[in-house]
Amino acid sequence: MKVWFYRLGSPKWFYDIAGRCLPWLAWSALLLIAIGTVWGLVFAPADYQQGNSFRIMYIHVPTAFLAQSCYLMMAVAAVISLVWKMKLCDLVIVAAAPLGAAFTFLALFTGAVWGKPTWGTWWVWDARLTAMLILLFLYFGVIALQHAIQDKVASARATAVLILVGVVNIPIIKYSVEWWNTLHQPASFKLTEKPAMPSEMWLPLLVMVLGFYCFFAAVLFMRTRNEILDRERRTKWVRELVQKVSSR
Amino acid sequence: MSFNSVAEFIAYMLGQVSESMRAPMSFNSVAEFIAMGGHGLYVWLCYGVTLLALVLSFVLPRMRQRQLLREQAQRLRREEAGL
Repeated sequence: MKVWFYRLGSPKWFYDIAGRCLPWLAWSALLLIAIGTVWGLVFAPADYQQGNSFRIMYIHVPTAFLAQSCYLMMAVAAVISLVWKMKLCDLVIVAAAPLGAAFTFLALFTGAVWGKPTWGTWWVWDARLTAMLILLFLYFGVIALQHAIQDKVASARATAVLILVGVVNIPIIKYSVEWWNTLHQPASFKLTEKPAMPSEMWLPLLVMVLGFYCFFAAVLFMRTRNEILDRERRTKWVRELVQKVSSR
Repeated sequence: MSFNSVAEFIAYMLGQVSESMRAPMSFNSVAEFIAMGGHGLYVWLCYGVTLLALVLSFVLPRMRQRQLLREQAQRLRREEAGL
């Protein structure tokens, strides 16, 4: 167990394993997102209240899931980084923050565009929307902090603390639709219950969510591998790798 | 309603999949598909922006990897020439 934990912390080990998983993740992401998009756009029946604008759900829900999952993953990495000083976790955080910001932006953007025909407005200052906007600013804060501090160790530590302080926002996002009166509808899906919409509508959504998670993992692995290449460039194994690639 | 066992959940899911495979297309023509019942602008704007973001977030790290490997190969060659 301990050996396994140390190996997991080794950048070289992660670089190899992530490289081997990458094609599988990328191709499943492409396949699932392609199937989900066609299914959701062409075959799913129109909503009896919202008409065809509800098809925005098939990208709004996966991006919103990922915006929060990415932050939770960064929080876990931050704890490991603070407690065990595992360098790999700092690199994962550096790689994940811009990705999380992108997904949060997409969730807010698709939400606004969906809100226009459905609620009659692009934006309202209600609890769910405001909490998501705060999440976007948290991501911006993490990215800015990473660039503001030159010393890598101090930068990683400050970033980890900021991430852990900001994690209170995640339950606020989740329960905002229950705690406050809001325009945003409550969660349509619960793990233990059958969903409140017909299967022709939610099956494509499930496919899309899985596809987006695969996509996130693939891009996160690519970005983390880049961080490792850059940060470990003085080590023997990266030199050998570079030589092998460039002689090809 | 809730599920009592994993087997029940899986059976339910498989039933739902086979049922929705028989669903017909919701549009009669390409023009109708593009119009999205008057919501075309909103739907296509969302899908367009998301597609752009996904493509960029996939392509940019790939380019960065090539750049990193190229730069480091150059640095290695310089160091060898210097020795």
